[in-house]
Amino acid sequence: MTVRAIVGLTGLNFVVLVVGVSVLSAIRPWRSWVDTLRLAGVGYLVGVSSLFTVLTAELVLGVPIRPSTFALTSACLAGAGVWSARRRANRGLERSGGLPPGLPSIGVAVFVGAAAVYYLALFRAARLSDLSWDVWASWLPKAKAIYFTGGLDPALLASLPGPSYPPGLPALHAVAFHAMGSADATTLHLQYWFLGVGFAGAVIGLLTTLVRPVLLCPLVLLLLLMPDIRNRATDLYGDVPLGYLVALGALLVLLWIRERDSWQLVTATILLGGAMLTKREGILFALCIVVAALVATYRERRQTWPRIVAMGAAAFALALPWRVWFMLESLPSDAPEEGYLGVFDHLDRAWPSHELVLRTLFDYDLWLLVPTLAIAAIGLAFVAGARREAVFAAAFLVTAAVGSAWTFWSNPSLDIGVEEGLVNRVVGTPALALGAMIPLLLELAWRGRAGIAIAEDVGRARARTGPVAVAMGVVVALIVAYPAITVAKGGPRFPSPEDCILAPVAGQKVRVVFGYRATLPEAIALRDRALEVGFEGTEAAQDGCGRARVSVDGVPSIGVGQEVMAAARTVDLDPSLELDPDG
Amino acid sequence: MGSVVASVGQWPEGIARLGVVICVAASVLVIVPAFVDALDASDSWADRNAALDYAARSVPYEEAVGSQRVVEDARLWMPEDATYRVVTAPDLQGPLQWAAPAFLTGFLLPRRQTDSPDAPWVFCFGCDLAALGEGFEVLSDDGSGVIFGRTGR
Repeated sequence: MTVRAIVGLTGLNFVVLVVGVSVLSAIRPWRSWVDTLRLAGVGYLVGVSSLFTVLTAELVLGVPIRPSTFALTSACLAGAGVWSARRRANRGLERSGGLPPGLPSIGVAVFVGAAAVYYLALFRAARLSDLSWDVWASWLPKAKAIYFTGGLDPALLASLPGPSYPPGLPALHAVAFHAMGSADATTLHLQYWFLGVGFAGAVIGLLTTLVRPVLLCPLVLLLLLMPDIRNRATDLYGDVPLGYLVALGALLVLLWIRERDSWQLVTATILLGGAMLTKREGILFALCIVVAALVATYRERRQTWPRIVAMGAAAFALALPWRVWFMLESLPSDAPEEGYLGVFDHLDRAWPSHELVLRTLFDYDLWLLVPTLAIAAIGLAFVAGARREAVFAAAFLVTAAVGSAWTFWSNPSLDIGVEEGLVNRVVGTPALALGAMIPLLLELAWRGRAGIAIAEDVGRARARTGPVAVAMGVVVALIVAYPAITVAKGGPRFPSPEDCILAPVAGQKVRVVFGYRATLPEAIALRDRALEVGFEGTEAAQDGCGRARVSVDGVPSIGVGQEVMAAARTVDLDPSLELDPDG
Repeated sequence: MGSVVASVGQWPEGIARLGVVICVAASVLVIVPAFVDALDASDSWADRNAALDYAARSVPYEEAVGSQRVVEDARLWMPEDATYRVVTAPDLQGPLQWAAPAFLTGFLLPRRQTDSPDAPWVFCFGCDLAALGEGFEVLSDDGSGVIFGRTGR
């Protein structure tokens, strides 16, 4: 909750970015600074996924997660990435002529500024959040356990809900606690803010050279504004990070189906491996992507299927150490309650589960028009001739809907209803993935069979854009205006123990405070000292701000309080006077 | 632009392009109110979160642990290397029975929860205090049915 915690978290995320960009450079050689900047969001999420994988492996092998091991791990990952990139005869960074022509048009600037304001508002809302139910019950204990002990204790995991849930996020949380200087679960909400910014940057970066701004800008903003994602964007659960990784993985596979650039498939593998180490549903949605890719490339199956299957298998292999570990430790399985074939004993739940998922997926209040637009985009792309891309998106929609329904169908203890807020958490991942695919599908629909390479046409569209200075001015004005307006309503608050210290008010009762201590035994020692020297009525009690206070309460006036203080000073006590709001 | 307009109505390119235009127009129409809603909601959450006190932000819910006051007292009493156990009444139902242990774990780490009767610190959720032994010292009891104390061992 301090500036120091925010700075520490920012530093950590910069390290994650450096790690991810380095790993990405090993997969896809750098072409220019602009190109690196364009894919920084992808690099960031690759960094998150890579760290999920390596930190989980370290936990499984008994390597403690501490600042030193994290620093070494990050250095090794980044170093290996850069080394590998150089070995691939990468010629290094080329000087670029600056931003792509026409990028900062005024229209684009308005959308960029709006997205920036959206994230500033999200930052402000997240910074002082309280913790939700499952965070207290499951995510926080795991993160704190790794933070305090450096490792995983099977007995502790077994005592918590979801003991076999993968430890990718808790490991990152633990590292974040180290970066912040304490187990500050409140400020930890901002870690999810960084993930959200990284996701938005990744989608924009991947599509900006392929999709004309007039399509890309509004559709990405629509994706970010989906109310249910917005509401849960920083809630410390695993669902939204899972959605980011799966959505980006799906988008990369879609791009690979179109462009067949190997780096897209390798990057998707890392992201899907990270998704599997975020939540168990990661396996389910990765399988949906694999099946959708197999269906979409059926005609070229000899060339494509081995690579797609290898992608799925490699992603699963990244999560395998965790699965082996929790089985060896005899932790409860993460399989459905009735086993994988138990669904056939509950056929009565089949249709209600599907109906629930479909009804939720097309709930305007949760996702606005995104799923509807996805279906329209799939149809339009298909009609326009982008068959494989449309089939991939359609097959993903179908498999993800069936897969989401299966999670309810196969767990009879789950209510088939929206009351517990579970179904939208599951459906959010396919909603994000479909939303990320819409801009490319619509671009393909617009292009039709014209035969002009997308990049050329988009480049021409960019060339018609407006003055850079005005556009940049619009972005800066929006980014400056929002904080200025919020600060005008009152500066940012940083809660501290001092919040419980109230200045005495004439005419009201006061308390003479002999001191604050971090623990009650220390406070009681001070209380006993005060009692010994005659300050009857001295008490030690929690102060309501995380400390123990030693005080004489209910003193009738400031004047009497000052007399007590003067007496206390004669016996080497160091008292102060405060308002007694309970007096 | 002229060729684009002229192509509308042609199958399939024109129809696809018309569809794209409709999709983008629909998204723009949705974005404006959604953006205003998002800022309003964020503002509202920011105000609400800034107004939270220490207990609301940093101590588990009463619904899950029975008493915020008692569990905060427990945190202030126990050293960081302490072990504690949770003793519940046999007929205890609801969140105190199935949620409290996990919530206490999350709140009190690095202090460790254990099942061992040798643990020197004890949470009692409606339990029989006599069963905790004669030397059991109540350190926090706010009348909610949740008691925290120390055994005589």
